[in-house]
Amino acid sequence: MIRIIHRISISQTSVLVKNQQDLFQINRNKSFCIFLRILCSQFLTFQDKISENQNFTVRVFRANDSFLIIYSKYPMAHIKLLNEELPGITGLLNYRPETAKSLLNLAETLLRSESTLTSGERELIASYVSHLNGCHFCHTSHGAAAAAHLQCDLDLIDDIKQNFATTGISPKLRALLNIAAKVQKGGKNVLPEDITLARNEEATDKEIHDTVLIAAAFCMFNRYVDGLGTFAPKENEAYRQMGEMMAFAGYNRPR
Amino acid sequence: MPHIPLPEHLPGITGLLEYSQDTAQPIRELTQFLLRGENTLSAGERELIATIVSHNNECKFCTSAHTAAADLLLGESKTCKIIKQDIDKAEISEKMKALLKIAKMVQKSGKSVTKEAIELAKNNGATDLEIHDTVLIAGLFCLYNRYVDGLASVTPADPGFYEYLGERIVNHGYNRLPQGYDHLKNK
Repeated sequence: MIRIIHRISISQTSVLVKNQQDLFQINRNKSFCIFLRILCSQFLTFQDKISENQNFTVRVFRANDSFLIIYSKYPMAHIKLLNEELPGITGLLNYRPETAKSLLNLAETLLRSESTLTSGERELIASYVSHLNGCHFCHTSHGAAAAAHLQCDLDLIDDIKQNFATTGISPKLRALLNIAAKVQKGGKNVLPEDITLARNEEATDKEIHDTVLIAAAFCMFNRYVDGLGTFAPKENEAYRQMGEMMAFAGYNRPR
Repeated sequence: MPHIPLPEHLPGITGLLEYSQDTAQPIRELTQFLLRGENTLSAGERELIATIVSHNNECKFCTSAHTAAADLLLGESKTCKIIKQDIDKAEISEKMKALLKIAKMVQKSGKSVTKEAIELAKNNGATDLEIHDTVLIAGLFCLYNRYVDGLASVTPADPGFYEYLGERIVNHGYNRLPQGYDHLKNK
């Protein structure tokens, strides 16, 4: 993902590269620009890697006549993270350990503590709400965690987007997902009839409570992840191992 | 009436946090750290973030409670009133205006935060950590607002209730009261 081409340190120029043209304008210093172009063309095939919708980040650290050039497939986050190779929330958790502890404890309690809802069901709620919030990282990673719990294929991640067209889910979970979707829009959207629907499928008060809180919590997590502009790998496969770790080692695993 | 049975003497968020204490613990800790922990943003400034997000989520309970807390911490009630209408008209720093604008974007969705809004905050002296905390506080209140309204917890109509709650938040912070909340039963 990130490749160090030539190492040296000190002052930094950061540029978000959207196309080859931008790269030429990185620095007005012509000789520097040519140098940069040669270095980058050695490692980047622009036609391949910079497609229309894909942003590239090239970071150039320079001092005197040497350079450290780092390019990454993903745009930089809105803030300078300590480790820019960590995707989604993981880079943020690493950046601010003081808040990470509570955030991870909350995820652990909501998704993995003892409950009459299985962890698989709770991860589905988390992934579904994240999908509705358009948060690719959370949707895919929690979808992968659900798949790990439920021992099913990663295609589950795509089926969540189709409102569980092919995955067999219980009428109770469907009623709870309906409540979660209302919470995602705004708390006031949850109507007494939504609650009645869930109760008719034998959802308990605690299950309704937990559903609302999981949905609300992911309205926080999703905003945290996207609001700071973190990057997210695209393919489902990139989340397989992460999902297994989330499911089986949990959120408070050593990092 | 709340969607699930909650302790009647504890309206709003408190009843929910008492109903589910194991989930309340990390939420309380996070809030205490973000709103009261050591920070280059003052506690009053951070309460403004909580207020504007709750206001835009139309959560009456949270808006009233955090407005009361912010008013106490700032020693005036003008700022809260104005930022709900027009951030630029408030007598606060340019940095704070930019951070409140970011918070308003986060309220809509994470993706609606623009590079320009981040640049504006940075150009007015906001640090990365301040931007981080602003986004996370705004996210946290999207949780609270949905939690409170999604379960239809009680929103008291009496303004006196929020004055009391504002004082409690300012004096005791966000941790659970050591003695619990039974003393409020006959109030």
